This record gives sequence, structure tokens and C-alpha cells, in this order.
Amino acid sequence: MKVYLEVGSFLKRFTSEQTNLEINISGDKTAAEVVLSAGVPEEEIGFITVNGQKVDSDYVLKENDIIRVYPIIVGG
Amino acid sequence: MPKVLKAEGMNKCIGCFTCMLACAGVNHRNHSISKSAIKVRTSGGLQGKFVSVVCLACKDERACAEACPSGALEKRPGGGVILKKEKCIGCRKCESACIVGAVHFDEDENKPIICKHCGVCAKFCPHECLEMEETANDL
Amino acid sequence: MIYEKYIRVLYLDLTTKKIRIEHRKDLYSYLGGVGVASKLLEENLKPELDPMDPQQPVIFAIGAASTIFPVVTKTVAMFWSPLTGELGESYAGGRMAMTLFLAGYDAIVITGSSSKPTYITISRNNVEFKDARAFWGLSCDEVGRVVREREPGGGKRSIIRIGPAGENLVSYACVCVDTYRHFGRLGLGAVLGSKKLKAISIVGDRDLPIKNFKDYFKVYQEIYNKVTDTSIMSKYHDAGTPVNIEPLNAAGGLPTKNLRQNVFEHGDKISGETFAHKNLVRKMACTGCPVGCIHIGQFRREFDKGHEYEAVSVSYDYELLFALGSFLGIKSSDEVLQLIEVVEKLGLDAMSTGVVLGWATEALAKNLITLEQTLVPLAFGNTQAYITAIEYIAYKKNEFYSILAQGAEKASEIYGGKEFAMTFGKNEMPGYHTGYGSVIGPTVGARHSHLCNGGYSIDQSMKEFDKEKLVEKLFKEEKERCMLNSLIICLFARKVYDRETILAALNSIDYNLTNEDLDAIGERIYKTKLRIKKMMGYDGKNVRFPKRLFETPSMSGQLDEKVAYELLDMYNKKVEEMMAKEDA
Ligand code: SF4
Ligand code: SF4
Ligand code: SF4
Repeated sequence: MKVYLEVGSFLKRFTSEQTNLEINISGDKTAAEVVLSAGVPEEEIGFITVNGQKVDSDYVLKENDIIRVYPIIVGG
Repeated sequence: MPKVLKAEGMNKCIGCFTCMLACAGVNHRNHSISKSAIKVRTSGGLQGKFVSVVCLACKDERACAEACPSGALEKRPGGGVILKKEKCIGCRKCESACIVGAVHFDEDENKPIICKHCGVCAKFCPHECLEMEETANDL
Repeated sequence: MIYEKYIRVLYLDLTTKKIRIEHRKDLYSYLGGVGVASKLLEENLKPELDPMDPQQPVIFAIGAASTIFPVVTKTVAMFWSPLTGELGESYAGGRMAMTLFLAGYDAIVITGSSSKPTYITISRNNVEFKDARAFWGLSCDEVGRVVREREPGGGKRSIIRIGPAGENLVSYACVCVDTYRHFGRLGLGAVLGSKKLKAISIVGDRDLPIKNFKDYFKVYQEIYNKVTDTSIMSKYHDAGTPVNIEPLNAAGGLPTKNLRQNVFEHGDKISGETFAHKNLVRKMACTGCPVGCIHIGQFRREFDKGHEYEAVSVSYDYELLFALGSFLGIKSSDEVLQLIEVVEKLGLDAMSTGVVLGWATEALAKNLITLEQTLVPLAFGNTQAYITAIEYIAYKKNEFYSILAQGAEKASEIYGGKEFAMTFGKNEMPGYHTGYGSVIGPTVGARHSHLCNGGYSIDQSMKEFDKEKLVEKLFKEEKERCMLNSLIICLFARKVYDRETILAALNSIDYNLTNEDLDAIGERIYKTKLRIKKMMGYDGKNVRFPKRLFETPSMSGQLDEKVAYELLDMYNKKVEEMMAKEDA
């Protein structure tokens, strides 16, 4: 099945500058697995939303889900 | 082939002074940026651009060496000069002879600070402002 | 003093124009930075006198490893804050730490007050008090320019100065350091203003041989590689902290319109990416920092009809985009930069200014105050009105603005609206509404800043909310940062400076410390700060939370006031326990 991954300005450095990816997955995959396999390192992931809702990283994806990954909040 | 320092990427400079701290540290075993052979400055306050003042590695004729009355500055293969400390009398003639102001003077040692073109500053510049360039031996 | 077992303190008395230097062996166990500064503040403070009394001290101190290791760049200032009425502690980067280091002073204690405006020049072999009457009234950048032209030492000089807001004793006036850095928070600018001290110029150029070159340089290289290889480089240098706008806005943690909202509908127009595209013109660094997180943004201003434009550059980072952006409902990057520029010129703390104006905007809408008082129609998104209001604050235009110049807490005491005066311990809030950590952290933090213990960061990393764990983490982090701030590292590099690295660095420059020593130092410093706070009349039990924090959901969902007070109690207990213990 097909899911969509959106990567914001900062994290796109890990996805060869691609911001919108269409990904084919087979079987049960979690949101975090898809993000990691797209190349975003675990320590850079702040949180993940699916269809606009914040989800836990073990959220299991459904057909046409739109995943968006956000960087961690930085500062002193 | 000999190498010389080229500061051609100064438009990328962030003014971190790491080059100066590294040069002073490695070449003079000193924490003070005043011992560095490269000087990073702003032209016109911090709102101005960063520029570097460092030996340009003149070839053929070296004004600083010509001005030295005691022969303490020897031509360096590929450009620039080598300071022979024991011959230097601290007269500061080289300082005024260098028209780009790249001969700095060490008041504590009473000797000029001469760039060796060793490349340490380039190695520690985090933003590729400084580079070592191969050049023909002019001697 | 590096390689010596004492701290070299320069005492300056502005009343008598006399100076004194002391070599303080007893301060050595406080390492440097905030440790030394706390101790010097404690012994020079006059608790019986007013916070702004001329006799009150201002302390500046550099750290035990300043300048000579990567990203160890900060100078600390400690004072009696006119904003909170208690501990004033603020940090600035730029070149100040390097110049003090190479001028040969670990700390400066300034007391007294000058009868006429003055500025001080400091170098390794001279200190002078000079006439600054003609500088009085000048903006931060103008006074920087004139001092730069008058004083020697370009390249190895640092110039710190106040603007009109400091002269006029605005409680959250800042001190500008080398154009783009600041002692921003808690009103140091007003304290210098009360002493009639307009600027300090420091030149550092002494000879300072390295003692154990091999050891030192090995550690230096390791840290340098760690800094430049890890992602802190890309994070803080590339788009910088403004990248925070995007995740905070998406997760509902971006304080917007006086925290009536946790999401800003125009967040994308002031995001880090937008600034990078439209305004970013260059990046800069503090001395000794390979990262270079200082982002300079430019906007174009029409100063006359007929296409007469000038380009104006100011530095921006996340906290500014929050305070003078989302918090005031400002919808474009150019407008945010315009507000930053006014704040910079006048010498105000950007965060407090934004948050104070957020309160005023809502208070006006709720008719707690009137247009006759505000003089301009303050409304979220109205940049022009805010520009004028910021000037009115700096010059205390009328009675209302004189009160606004004392902070949101004070203004809400007089006009009402405490529920939405967004302060922690009387200090205006930072840009994180991330959960209990962002609420409790700055409330219990020694200087009521998010930087005391990084509460927002704990919110983010804590998988499941656990009261005990949160309190424990905040407490631990507060102590750890007391130690880090005695070095004084830039907190952006705190992940690089783990204990092992710190010990290697310090021991390569002749300290002889163990991990336990570092623990003890952190605790010793924290206790000193808490003693000072008590002297200043602070009681952790008397703090309050503005109700708004519990009305607008946070990034971790709705917060419960009862839980917040419970956490506060728990933290206070920990502090009491520590204070009852003998010094380790
Ligand atoms: S010191 Fe000046 S004159 Fe001498 S070689 Fe270098 S640039 Fe040329
Ligand atoms: S090349 Fe070597 S001597 Fe010359 S400025 Fe760089 S570090 Fe110093
Ligand atoms: S190290 Fe590079 S970026 Fe830093 S001041 Fe030197 S030339 Fe500029």
C-alpha cells in the first residue's frame, strides 16, 4: 500500500533534499519505521504526525496515510 | 610542490577566530590571538565584512626580506619568508615594508610574527575560508 | 586565573573612580563564571538597601575554560534584578570573554555610581573612567560606533553598552555586547543606567604561554572535531534556532497572541525557513566558536518617498521570533525584523518587551486600560502600533508606559489581568509552552529563565509524564548547569561537554579535578545562589502561575493547575533538603 511522507525544511538534508515522498510499504509498518527508512536518523526525530495528528512512534500505518516528521526543538 | 596559504573564502567567514587561536597555539604555544600570524578583522565594525590580514606569499621579490638589514628573513620556496630568529634584531623594518600589513610584531619577544604557511589555520577553519594551495617553487 | 590557584578580581568604584585588584585564593573552589560571580555578589550585596541603590554591585565573570576551548564563549553578569526584585543573572557571548581573559581579569566588581555619564576602558595595563556625557541618549549601535572610533584595539576589543532604555531605568533594559550579543534578561541595562555607566571597552592582548601544550592541544582537537562533526553544527549554524517555529507550531507549543493560542495560523510566515529564504544575509560567531549560530537578517526600509531605501540588518533567533512574532501575532518576517531593530536600538530585552506588549494588547481589548493610556491602538498584528509603543516604553512616555516599563507582573498588579500576565517569578515567559517542564522549570529556576534547567527540553524527551522524574531531572539539571556555567560553555554545546570531556579539558590546563569535585562545585554554586535569593527576599512558596497556562493547551496537552502547584511543592522540598545538608 501507499503512504506519503512529508519532510520539513531542516530534516530534508537526510532525504536528499526531497520534501514529499511517496512510499510503498508491505505489511504492517509503523510511522517511525517509514521515517527511519527514508533516512532520518532517530536522534533527529522530534515527533511524528499522521494526517495532522501527533502519533506515537509505534502507530501502525494505513493506506494513504500522510506522515509528517518534525525535528527536535533545539536551544540552550 | 610547496604550498601556500590562500584566504580566498573570507566571504564565508563567521569571525570565530579559531584560525587565530590555532595559529597562536601551535606556532607560538600561546593562548593569545595577538601571537597569530593571521589576523581576522572586521572592516567597519561588526556590521562590516570580515577580512583577513595574512602573508600573501609574495614570489620573486619579498619586500619584507629586502627591508631586513640583518638577513633574518629568508625566501621561502613557493612564496613568503622564513624568519631566522637568531638573526633578527627587532628593528621592525619588515613590518613597515609589507604593504598589506601582514608582518605583525610580537612586543613581548621583540620579533616579527611571520606566517610559515603551515596550514594549521586552514585545518581549523570551520567554514572553508582558508585553503592551502600548491604552487611552483620560485627559488 | 588560568594556571594560577587564584581568581583575579578587578574592583571598580564609580563613585570614587578608584580601582583595586585582588588575587582571591578562596574563590578558586568556585572554579569561575557563575560560581565566582555568585560568591562575589553574595559578599558585596547590600540587602538592607534598595536594589537600585548606587552601592549595589554588578559582577562580570569569565569561566575557568573561557575562549581556549571550542564554544566556551560566555561571560556571566550577576546583579540585583530590578525586574524580579531578586537574583539577576545573565549571559552574553561575543568577544567579551576573550578580551577579559587576555586582559588578565577573571572577574570585575562594579560598585558605586558616577555623578556624570561615564564609560570605562579596560586593558591589561590600564583602567580609565572617561567622560560619556555626549554619549548619553545615544542608541546602542551609535554608542558602539563612537567608542569604536575613539578607542584603540580593533580586533581584540569588546564594547558593551546600554541604550536609552537602560538610561531611563526600564526594568528590562538590556546590555548590548559587540552589536549582536546581549546580556538580555532581567534588567542589567537599568542597573548600569542607575550607575550612569554607558559603556565599557575592553582590550585583551596579553602574552599567555600554554603550559602543557601537548595535553591541551590534544583535548582541544578532540573537542573541535566533536563540535564540527556532530549535528549541533548543522542545527545551530544552518537555519539556527528559528527551526523551532515549525515543530512547536505543529505540536501546539508555540505561545501565540499572549498565549491565547498555542498554534499560530501564520507560523509559516515567520518560520526559520522563511527567514532563511527572505532575510538571511550572513552568519557570525562568538570568539572561539566554530559553530556560528548568529543569524543576521536584513530588511529594506523606505526612508523617503521616491524609492529612497536603506538596508537594515539585525540578528534574530528563535526567542525573538516568538516574543516579537507569534506572541504579538506578527505575520511577516520583515515586520518581526522591524520590531527587533527598534528593541535593539533602544536597548531593551526582546523577550520581556514582547511579552509585556502581549499583556498590554489583551488588557486594552478587555478595557482594563484605555487608548488614552496606550496612545496607540495596540492590537495583535499591528506592527506600527508596537513600534511606537516600544519607544514609549523606553522613554516612559506617560504614567502608563512608566508602569509598563516595570514588567508585566507590575502592570497587572496595578491594572488587573494577572491571569494573562505571562511571567514566571516576575520574569516574562520564554517561547515554550511544551508541558509541565516549561511551567515549573522557569518558575523554580534560580533566575526564572528557561535556561536555568531546560524544562522545555525535558518535556520533549520524557516519554511518559512522571512527577517525581520531572522534579528530579529539573533539580539535577539546575545543578549541572551551575557547573557548566562556571566554565562558561555556551549551552548550545552542552551535549558535547559531557563530564569526561570537561574533566579532560580542565585537567589539561592544570586543574586537578574529579567527577565528584564537579558535583560538589555544582551544588556549592546552586546553594550560593539560593542564599542570595533569600537575602533578596525570595520565597519559593510565594510564587504564582498565571491562569492562562492552564487554559491554553500545551504541547503535552491541557495542564492542570493543581498538578503544577504540587510539582512546585515537591521541588521546594528538594531545595530545603539540600540547604539543610552541610556543604560537600
Ligand atoms: S610579509 Fe608581506 S612582503 Fe613579505 S612575503 Fe609576505 S606579503 Fe610579501
Ligand atoms: S599558515 Fe600557519 S603560520 Fe600562517 S597563519 Fe596559518 S597557522 Fe599561522
Ligand atoms: S577560522 Fe575561518 S571562519 Fe573562523 S575567523 Fe578564521 S577564517 Fe573566519
